[in-house]
Amino acid sequence: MAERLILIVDDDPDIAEAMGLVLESTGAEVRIEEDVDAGIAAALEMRPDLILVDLMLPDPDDGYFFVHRLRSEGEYGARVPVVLLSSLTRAEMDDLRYPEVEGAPFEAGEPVPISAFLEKPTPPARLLGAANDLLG
Amino acid sequence: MTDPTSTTDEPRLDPADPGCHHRGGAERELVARIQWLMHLRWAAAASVIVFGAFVVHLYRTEHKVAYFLGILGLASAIAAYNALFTHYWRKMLESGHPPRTRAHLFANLQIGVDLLALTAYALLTGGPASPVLSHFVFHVIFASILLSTRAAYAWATVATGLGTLVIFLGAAPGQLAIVPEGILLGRFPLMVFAGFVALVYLSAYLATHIVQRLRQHEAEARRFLSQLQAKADELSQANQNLQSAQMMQTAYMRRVSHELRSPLSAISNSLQVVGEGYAGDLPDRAEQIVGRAHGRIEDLLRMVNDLLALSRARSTRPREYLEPISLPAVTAEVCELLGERAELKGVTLINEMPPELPNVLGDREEIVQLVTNLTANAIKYTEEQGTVNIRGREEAGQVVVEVADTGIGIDEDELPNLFQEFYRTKRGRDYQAVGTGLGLAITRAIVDQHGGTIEVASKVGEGSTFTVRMPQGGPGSQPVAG
Repeated sequence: MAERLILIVDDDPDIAEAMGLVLESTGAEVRIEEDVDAGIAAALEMRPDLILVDLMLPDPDDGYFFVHRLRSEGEYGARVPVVLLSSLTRAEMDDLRYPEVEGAPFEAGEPVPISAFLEKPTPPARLLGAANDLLG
Repeated sequence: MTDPTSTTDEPRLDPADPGCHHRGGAERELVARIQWLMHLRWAAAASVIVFGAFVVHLYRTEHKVAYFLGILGLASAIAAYNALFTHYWRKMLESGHPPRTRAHLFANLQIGVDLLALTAYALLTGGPASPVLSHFVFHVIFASILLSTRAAYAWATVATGLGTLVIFLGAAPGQLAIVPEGILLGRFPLMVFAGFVALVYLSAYLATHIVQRLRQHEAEARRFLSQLQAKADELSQANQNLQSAQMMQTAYMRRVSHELRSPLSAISNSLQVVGEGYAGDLPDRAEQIVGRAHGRIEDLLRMVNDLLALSRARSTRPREYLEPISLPAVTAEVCELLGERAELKGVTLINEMPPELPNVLGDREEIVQLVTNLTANAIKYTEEQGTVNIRGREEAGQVVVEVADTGIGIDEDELPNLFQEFYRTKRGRDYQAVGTGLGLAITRAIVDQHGGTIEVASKVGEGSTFTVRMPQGGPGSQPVAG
């Protein structure tokens, strides 16, 4: 993963830092942002190879808004691998489908277009495994 | 008749309008019967020709042609005014639906004109001896059905007047009578008159009485229907409130779940990252302490997860939240999820669920948790080279799932306590220190919420079998969700 650029969008600086340390151990460069707008701006500016985004940033559905906005940002936004992170369990994630949110641009019930989902806390081995799978 | 284009606040009549239900069946009946009366009149015009000609032919000895022409003229007049009525009614319907008073006026007009035509018909076909004299009754019955009781008696009086005219005018010697004069002399017309008056008023009385009773019943039915509708509305509102409360509860639980787990996740992640040396090398002693701290945090996370799951499993959910679930599909998913864990432990995990089992109606998240808990438990308490076998069958309208292991088993005296919160068997604690003692309590709560049963059979040193029975539910037996 040397020379790969990874963006972490998470409002919990402790988790972001811990994940950053693990990913940096592979030689990747890690950038951390704390909210949707800053995350989107950083993604479009730096075009990272992988994006990890938390679900609650801090609002419960911010992660979904981030993914939806990113996927509508041209060819790069559509293809960049995105890992959704959450303290909620996989079972609580409603099959990884968009929830019903008033005024949301996404269609409730549609699958969230992500590459992987990781529950927090994420053991380093699992995080590295997912990153390796997605970055090749 | 008033201008059909005039506007009015009166209720309007439309047989196809469901709103008519609220305005009453009498109005709907009026519209339908007015149309029916007009259809019937075409047949009446035809029968006037056929039947009238037959009677004239039978009774008359002279002036037959004149009477035939009279009959023909009458039939044509009936057809002509019926055409006018039909045209006018269609126009009224096209210009919006007729207000109630206009429909009543129209019904009265038709009955009046019909009675006049019937008078002429009875005179032409024998006066007091006419076979159609009794037909005056029909219009009295129509009026009883369509109009008010007062209108029905008014039309009975009109019919009596016109019938009297027919009886006495038709009986006058040398006038319109077509039967031998001898018959019409003496008391015959008086007897016919008496019988006729009795017939007409008795018909009016019977018909209005029956119609009144029917209208009372209809009003009661409408009142009942409206009460029922009000109850249904209340129920629907209560259901909406329940669903809204359920959504709020779900959102609240998600928030609580997140808020409780987030800091623990951060601590766990940080400790593990530090402990594994990603933030730099640690002295051995420090690494051990951090490792133990990480283990304790993981225990706490498990406890929080299980308490949240237990709370969720014990909250009642409306049936709208349930979906048809294929247990074989869920089992396959769980086996895939836990396959690696079993493999790492050297336990053989065998899924023998027949794929054609009927669905159960359930909360998918919880059904997955139920099968996961039982399977994970079985793997956890089974030693290397042991086996965990998941079987299924259909039995008396229930879907049965069995999770059988060749594990350490449970002492018989501990079996009754197995599903209590925080209860762990002594043998279990000795074999595996980690555990919250909530897994089987959660499993039991999920089974209870789904109307199922769970039982366990176990022999120390040989293994345990957990048997879950769930009622079949959902459309068909095809796997729907997995």
